[in-house]
Amino acid sequence: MDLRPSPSWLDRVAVLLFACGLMIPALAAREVAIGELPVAPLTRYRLTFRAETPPASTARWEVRITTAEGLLPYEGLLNGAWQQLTVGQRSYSHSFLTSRDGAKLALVVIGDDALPTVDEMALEQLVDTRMVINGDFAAGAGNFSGWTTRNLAVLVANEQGELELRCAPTGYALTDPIPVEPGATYRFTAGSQPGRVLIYDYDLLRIDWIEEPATTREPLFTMPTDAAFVRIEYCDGRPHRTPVIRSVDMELVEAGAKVEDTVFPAYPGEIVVGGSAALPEVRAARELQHWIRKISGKRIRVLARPSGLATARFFIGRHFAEEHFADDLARLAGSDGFAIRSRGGDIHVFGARPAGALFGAIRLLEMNSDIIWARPRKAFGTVYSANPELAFASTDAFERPAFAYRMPGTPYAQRSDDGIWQGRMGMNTAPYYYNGFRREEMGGAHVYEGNYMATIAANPEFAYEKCRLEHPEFFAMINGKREIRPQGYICYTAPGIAKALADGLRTIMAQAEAEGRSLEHLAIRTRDGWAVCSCESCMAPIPLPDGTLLKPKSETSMGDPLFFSTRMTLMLNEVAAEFAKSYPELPITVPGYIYAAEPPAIPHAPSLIPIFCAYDTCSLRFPILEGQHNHAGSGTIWADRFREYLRRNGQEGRRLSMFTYYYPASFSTVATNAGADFSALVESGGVHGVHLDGFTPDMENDRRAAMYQHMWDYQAIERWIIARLLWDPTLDPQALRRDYITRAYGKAAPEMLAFHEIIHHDWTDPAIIFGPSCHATSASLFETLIVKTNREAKLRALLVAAIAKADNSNSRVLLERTLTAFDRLADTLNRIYVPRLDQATEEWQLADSTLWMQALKLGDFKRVTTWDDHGQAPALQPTQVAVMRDTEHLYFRIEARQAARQDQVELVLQAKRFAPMLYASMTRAGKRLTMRNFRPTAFPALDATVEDGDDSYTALFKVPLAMIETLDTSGKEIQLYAKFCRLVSTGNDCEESSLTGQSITMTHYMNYWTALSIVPEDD
Amino acid sequence: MRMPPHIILALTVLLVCSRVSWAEALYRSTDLVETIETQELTAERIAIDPARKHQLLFLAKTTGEHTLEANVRIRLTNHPSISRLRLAFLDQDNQPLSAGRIELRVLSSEWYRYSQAFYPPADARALRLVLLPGGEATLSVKELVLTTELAVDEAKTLNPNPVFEYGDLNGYGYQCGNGGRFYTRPDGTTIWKSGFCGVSPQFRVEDNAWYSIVCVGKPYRDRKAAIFLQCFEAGARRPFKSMRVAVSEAGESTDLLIPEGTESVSLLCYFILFEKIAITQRPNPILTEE
Repeated sequence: MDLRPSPSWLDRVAVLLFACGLMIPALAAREVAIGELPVAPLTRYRLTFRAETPPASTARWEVRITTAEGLLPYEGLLNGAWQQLTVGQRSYSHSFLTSRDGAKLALVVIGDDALPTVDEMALEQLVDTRMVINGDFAAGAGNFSGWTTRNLAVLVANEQGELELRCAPTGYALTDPIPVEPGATYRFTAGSQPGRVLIYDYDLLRIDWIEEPATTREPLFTMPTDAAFVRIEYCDGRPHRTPVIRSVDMELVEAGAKVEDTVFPAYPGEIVVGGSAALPEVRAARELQHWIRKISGKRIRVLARPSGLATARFFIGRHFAEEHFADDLARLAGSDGFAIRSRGGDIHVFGARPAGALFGAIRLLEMNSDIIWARPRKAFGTVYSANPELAFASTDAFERPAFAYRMPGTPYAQRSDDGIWQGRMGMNTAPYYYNGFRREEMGGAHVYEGNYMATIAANPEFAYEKCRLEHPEFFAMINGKREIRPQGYICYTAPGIAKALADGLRTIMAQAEAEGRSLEHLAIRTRDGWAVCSCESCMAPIPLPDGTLLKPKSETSMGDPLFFSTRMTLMLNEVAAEFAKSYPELPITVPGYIYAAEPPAIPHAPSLIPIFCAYDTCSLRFPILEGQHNHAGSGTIWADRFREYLRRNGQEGRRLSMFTYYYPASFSTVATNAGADFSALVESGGVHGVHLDGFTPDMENDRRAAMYQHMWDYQAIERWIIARLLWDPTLDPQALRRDYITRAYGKAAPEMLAFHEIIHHDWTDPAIIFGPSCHATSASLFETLIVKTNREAKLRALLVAAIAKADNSNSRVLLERTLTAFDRLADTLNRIYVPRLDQATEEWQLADSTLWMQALKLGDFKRVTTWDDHGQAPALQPTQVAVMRDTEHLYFRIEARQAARQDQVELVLQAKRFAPMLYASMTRAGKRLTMRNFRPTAFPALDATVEDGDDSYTALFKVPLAMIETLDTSGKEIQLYAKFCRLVSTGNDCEESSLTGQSITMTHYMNYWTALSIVPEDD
Repeated sequence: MRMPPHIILALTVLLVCSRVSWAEALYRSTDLVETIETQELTAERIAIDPARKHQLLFLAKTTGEHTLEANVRIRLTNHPSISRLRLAFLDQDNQPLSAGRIELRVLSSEWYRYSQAFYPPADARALRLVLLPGGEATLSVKELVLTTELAVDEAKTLNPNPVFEYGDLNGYGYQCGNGGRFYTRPDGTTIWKSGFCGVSPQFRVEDNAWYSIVCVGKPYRDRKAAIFLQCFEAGARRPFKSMRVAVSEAGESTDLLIPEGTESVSLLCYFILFEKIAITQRPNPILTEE
């Protein structure tokens, strides 16, 4: 579709003048349409008119662009709050882009009393080369043409008298949609920086963004192939950052592939969203429109008002529900929940809050199709079957989320795909931690989270510089000295510290209220560490309610978590009392982690919400309350602590939250444990929320992505389930898992059900003594739960079979990526399968035997850090290793090139961690040395030889398997570990290299070794 | 013209010995002692002051398989057949102390200077020097001196062996972590590669006093590199407090207040190539600033 203005229109440069001097009678009419003018679709116009506005009038105007059939699409209704007719202003102009089906335009004047006189109305097609309407604000002060979507953004004249658009730190401003060509390259030609180019599709659904911010320094950007419009977004969200927009425009540089204008058949129905709908409600309508088209291949319109035709209607938002579903709205009050109801053939999707409509629309689609947003990636993350007969038979649902606070992070969504997915999954607080527009659109709530000192400093009276100079006692005394720094640790007993914290919160609340934001999630915390103040006052014994004294056992919080948890809670209770003087209903989330994970010896004030966190030594494999397999000697400490927090929660009538780490670095069914933990929380009494730490972005091939690469390839299913459990933790995680598998994998579901059954069995098998935390390595998880359970071959075969059966292209991509992740995790074990070559028994001593060509070749050697950090660079003298075996021996061939006179190669073998190490070396001169645990020891059965060449030598070793102590040969696969090293004396230096680049004595973790695997079945 | 090796050796000995106050030595011997059996070097015990830092220097060589020349990986081994010189401490009743024994391993068949500065155990009042040839080896020792009059670097610091000027066959009382070792750079200076969990010698400090810790070294393995000052209570095997210490190639100084109850400290090190670790007591920086 060519979205540029048609030549015929350019030729005509239509200037349509409607100069009849129409007088609008001053009578009861509240809405008067003034004329009707023909327009072309997706074309830019400027409408001008003159108006005489009576005193005290509150009249405004709307532009309505209807279709040829008289329908009013939502995007055809231009009714911005700035469109006020004001006393004393005669001339008005309004520039805009017509809608896709726009055919007729009407100017409508709306008012309560005497309406203005309007005349000299004219419509002119914009034929300049600018793509951004009013990108230079030439339309004048108060005219927000082209900038319909704004929040806390004002047009002001700068010192040069030029108009500029300024956004408050939490505000935003977006250009109106700009038609673009898919695949085309554009240049950002002018403007303020940085802007973000948001991508919209055919249905005006935001689907993507250009990754790099739009700047004139890096001006070129290319459209994705599914782009139809862009909007340039200005928003920052960080305190003290105020985007200022002076001018913005872009131009086409290189056309994309021509795409024929697709004409979609009509879907029998219409979506209606109110003309003043909030961002999430509009998003809800667009999501429905978009996915109905994708699934059915038919187009459904989003209208600003019902057509009146006899057709299925989807009413979006509470505006349409208030009359008929008051009970539902009452039950939904104060939550992000939603209801889906049908009435007289109409389907209503609504929430008490706008976010509810969005979450409800997504659920409506899931209820009536097999669609699943299996993971964030736009390219392949959504799976559905085409269904031209898509119908909405299931239209009755009511859901109110168990947790008000459903926060994924850290890090917060860094990619467009992540934010959109999190919103679709009903997470509400962090699709974009900083970003106002995208967070609001996806139903995110306003949140304040800050550490104690940052919160105190929010109040100008206690800004950091003032605190530093006037209140050094606010800062924690650490190692005998007040540690004064921004956002530093605080002293919990400093006079006035609690009031300063409460005042900081009051400042933040006042600022939010001034900006029209409703803050309902307030959280304050200590810095992320164990440091505590050890001043005399903080270390003083604490009188307890029972009359006893709680005395410190240590001046460190690690040494006495109970004392410091209690000390902090004493202060927080004071904060709560002080803050409640201004905001008696508003709770404050406070730490229940680090040392505060230990329940304090005093109750929390009723308005405090501890956020309990079982961390680091708590096993992810079992529900916290089971207390199983926690490592590092922590025993049942986490179960005990959690149980006590739950007990208090039930008794004290408060609310409780959780901070969680459900992200093991391999295949798991960790969502099952999450469900149990969430359920325990809900059953204990009031709950507030869950913070999901480690909810990493779904990204790759990015310099920032190294630690996130591929996690979604094996964790997507668990994250999807956890997102569901945030709404209803009583759901059966296994049932959710089956639902995910059925939807995401289609015909391959049986294989994937079997795959996840095995994973689930072993993950939850208490006989496997293994308690991984979120820090467990992928290698240890994979080895313990997949390799040592002898599941590897079976699981891999299931994945391969699933790929073969998958008939949906996105299902196949998901499965292929899962298999790749499986193989990659297997690779982290550094296992090498040693081939069995029976002739090795006879020919191993022949360095040039062609048999060695069939042996397994290992990679090139790397430099070991010695007197300098060599960073594992390629070794200066190349070395290569080959390995083969017969039924009783391993054979190694180590070829050392660019050899020096004093030069030796080394081999170390170990059956498993802590088992005795067998060392063998061979010098170029043929001197052999063997050691056991690095003590010289004779091993007569170990044979070795060397062949010396001109500038190289080749050492050959024959090692009986029986010589490797504690080697377990009972399983289907024998595993052992090897190190290959080389020492080259070069003058006054000695070059040390190894296969892994690690020192020969780096032996404490097995991933410093090269794992060799033998499959006796080959025998 | 090349200088004969024995002349080089003699000059080296002269140079090294000039760094310590030969005249003030607690014990000295220029005699060459060669033995194939365990042999006490001193006929009588040597009186020592446990409050003072001592330094032992000597030239030594040994024979056999457990030498660098026979096994280039000899540094990694802890074989009982490695020749060594033992410092055995005695209490006021001349009874051997079970703790605090120091052994310096002799790892080369060539003459090599060994050195170690150390604090005797608190209840030590004397020591004996014992030669322990390994297996069938002959152990040769000469130019031995035990003194409390220290060379400049050693005298200025509280910690023993702040620099590693006697080459990479000495251990200096440091425990190398996994992957750790002493290395000599091409320019001849020796560095300590701490490896994973390398530990410096432990020594006594005053609690509630300020210390300055200067570390000159190069972290490797990026963010995994770290140094912690570990504080031990009397008789404790595990530290009760650890504090982060800075390091850089140009040298970083960290001022720390030693917590109450601390009797001794050591440095726990992860992935650092050290040139120098100098710990000195210093005035209270807060009072100083005021």
